Amino acid sequence: MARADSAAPTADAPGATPTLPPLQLVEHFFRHETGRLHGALIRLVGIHNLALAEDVAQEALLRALRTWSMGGVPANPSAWITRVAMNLARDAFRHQRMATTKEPAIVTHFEQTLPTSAAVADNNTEIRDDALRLMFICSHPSIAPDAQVVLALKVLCGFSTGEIARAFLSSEAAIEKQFTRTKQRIQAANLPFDIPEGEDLGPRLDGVLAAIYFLFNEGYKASAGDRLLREELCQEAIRLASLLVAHPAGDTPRSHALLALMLLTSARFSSRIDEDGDLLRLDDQDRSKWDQSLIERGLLHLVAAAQGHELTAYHVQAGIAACHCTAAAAASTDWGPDSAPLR
Amino acid sequence: METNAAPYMLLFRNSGPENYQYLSPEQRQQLMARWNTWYDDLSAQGKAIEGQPLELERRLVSGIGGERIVDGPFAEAKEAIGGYVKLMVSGLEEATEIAQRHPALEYGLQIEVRELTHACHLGVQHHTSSQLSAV
Repeated sequence: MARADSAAPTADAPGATPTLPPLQLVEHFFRHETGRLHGALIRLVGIHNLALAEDVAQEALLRALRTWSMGGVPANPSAWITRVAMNLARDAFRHQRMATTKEPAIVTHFEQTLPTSAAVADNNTEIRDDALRLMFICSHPSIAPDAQVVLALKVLCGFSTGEIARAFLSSEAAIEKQFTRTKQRIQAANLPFDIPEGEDLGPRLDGVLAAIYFLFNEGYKASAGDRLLREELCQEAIRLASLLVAHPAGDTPRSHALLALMLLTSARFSSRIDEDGDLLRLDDQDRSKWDQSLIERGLLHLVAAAQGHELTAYHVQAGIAACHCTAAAAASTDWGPDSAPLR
Repeated sequence: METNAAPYMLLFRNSGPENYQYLSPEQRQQLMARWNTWYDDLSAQGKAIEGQPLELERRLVSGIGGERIVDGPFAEAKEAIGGYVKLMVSGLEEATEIAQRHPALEYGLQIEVRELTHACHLGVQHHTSSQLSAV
């Protein structure tokens, strides 16, 4: 046997073919699983138990690290980690019930909704919905914009306090303090963990888009902080917007416009800094370094953004970014007939 | 595999979750990947035979007839064996060098290196090595 992984629930029987290459996790798996677990756990235990959800997700990730380091990655790592997290959450609730006897109703509800044995949620719709609910929580108007970004990075994107502090050139203590205040505010405000409907949806969606845009800009500002981490903030903003447009509630022209804007802008990432780390003006950038696959994705979303009659700031900025991206050289940029003031 | 290779055990201590709680998710994933690479390289060379984590839950049995049973977890969690890897290598030196390359040492991991004897002290003939050669 190449590697014993009998501790994993989905592992093959002992004696499995030793010639199979060892399983590797996709990039950022632990980080994104943290966000996914938060969504699934909060749906079960309620947003007022955010701290419990965090503790449980953390513990599940640590157990995965320990077991997978020594035993190898299981065939379905997401299912493995979900099952561990659900068991931990159930134990925590049983313990709480014995300690306080106050939440028996929740425990009953919780045990009814627990995924049964092997059929652990690998349900993409559910994951997407949980992520969207979390986005609406993170961008709630009762939370200040900078606190929204920290909350989203921590809860939704699985960044550690240390990483957020490095990205923002802040101290871990300051980020932790702000995060604690935000959590208290969420608990006090009793925010609903759902996707807004009807006439609530429009303004709340604007809030989500604004928060994603803010997150992207925080990453795009190359002035300060860990550059690699800041680029990852931009990637996270794109990931969240991609989840958003894949959901009927978020599939609006302005969501596509924002996503197009971010894709087209990040396509130029690798060319905007010279060998000395100084910023290069657009005219001086090596356009062959621009990421064509990101440009193509961006242009596709720009087409989707043109459906309907909406024209938002995201549309205009994405349009300008597209002019740059489709020009072979700065001098041949097609500004279009109505864009004289933009030059 | 060298013909004169002998079985060794690497016993991992101080490998509990608390050692890694302050790492970011990215650092945890990187550590895990390095750990698996360490093992996979040894396995590809035929030097690592098997390895497995041990569950955290423990029970100590002692006394005549096993009358004393102590449930874990214990205060001295750092002393607990968290997992093992079985090697087939030329000797204690090589086993030790392999242990020295372990990526989790910088996070407090302790590795005990022990040779497996070919016969146990009760005189019962040990037959693991013939099975191992078929692996």
